[in-house]
Amino acid sequence: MRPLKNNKGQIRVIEAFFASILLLSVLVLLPSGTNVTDSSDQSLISTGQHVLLALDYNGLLSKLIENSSWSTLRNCVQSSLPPTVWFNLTILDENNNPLNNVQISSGTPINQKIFSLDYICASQSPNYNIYIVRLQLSVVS
Amino acid sequence: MNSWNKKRSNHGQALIVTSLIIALLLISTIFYVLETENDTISLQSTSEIDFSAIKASTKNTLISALANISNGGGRDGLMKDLKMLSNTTHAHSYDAECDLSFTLLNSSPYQDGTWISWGDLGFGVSSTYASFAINVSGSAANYFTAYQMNITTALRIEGVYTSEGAEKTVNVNCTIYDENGPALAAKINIFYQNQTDGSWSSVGQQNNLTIVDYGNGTYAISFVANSLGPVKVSAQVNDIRNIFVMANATCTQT
Repeated sequence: MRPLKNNKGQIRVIEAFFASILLLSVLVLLPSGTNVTDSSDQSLISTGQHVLLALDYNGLLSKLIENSSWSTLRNCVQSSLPPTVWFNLTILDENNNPLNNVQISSGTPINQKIFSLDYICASQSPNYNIYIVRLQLSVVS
Repeated sequence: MNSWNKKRSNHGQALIVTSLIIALLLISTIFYVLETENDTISLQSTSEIDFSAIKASTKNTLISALANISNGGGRDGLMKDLKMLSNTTHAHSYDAECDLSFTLLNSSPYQDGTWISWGDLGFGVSSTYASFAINVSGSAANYFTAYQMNITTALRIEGVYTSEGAEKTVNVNCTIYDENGPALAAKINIFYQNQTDGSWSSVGQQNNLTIVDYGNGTYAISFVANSLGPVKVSAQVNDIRNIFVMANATCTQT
């Protein structure tokens, strides 16, 4: 009497194994990339807005703009941002005409993905003016 | 027997295809959920910052207008500045439409949002008061906030003098406040009135003027005045925001 050799189920097990590997890889790989990028983008924009808010707290931001103290303004923004963040600052009047005649930035952009936010800065001095502070930010990828 | 073998050999292919279809369904569902969540998160995270930024701008505008009005500018400056801020805020809102509206306080003692009172009883005040409403209309949600804002600089002075003939040693205490409490002065000018012709004389080094700053908004001022009768003094102060306030007082003899 020959012993029974039944190989019928082996291929089916292997096929089921590959199907489950396919499903698991989709579940594991797909959600991990997009969420982290979106939350870090919002965090970068919020950081930029907080920096400008802090500078504007006692009217310092408008005083620096009125005195054309661009290097002091650059140093203030640079010291408030993380070292891995690149920034470029443009000061505009209420008609969107640029006021800074020198570049206020931390160097050349480090990433092609650049975020921009506009902050409205009202002057505290008796000679009232409104400035648009355009802050561009980018982070090391 | 042969057709049954052929049918059995296709079962593995059907399993792989089924798992692929399920994977595609999962991918499309996950993408849909992520895209919907992204829109909601972006509007919620920026609205609080927008409110804080606009509130800072309204505060700076009130300070600027009060500094201008108290230093001799027209009272209509406050309305003009706030209108300019409102127009600029609306024009530079991109993610959502942002409307800033305001109402100047017009109930006594404020008129057109401003109260200026520089009296002879040792108290002077320069103040402005307005109510604001911010409406942010986005594609996913609307946000609204309302608040009042007051900017005030007040001065209280009181003085005593000791008489040594025509010369009098005058000691004046000046206390400065803003809307949050004690405040610092950027400049203090003291005058005393000549009782003969009623003219005001500026107090300087020729009067042995000394000013002691206690660092808490209180200033002790001492000087020598040539005056026959009671000494009437006037203090004119610019605080660190350049808002001007003044007050007069009659010193008492000790």
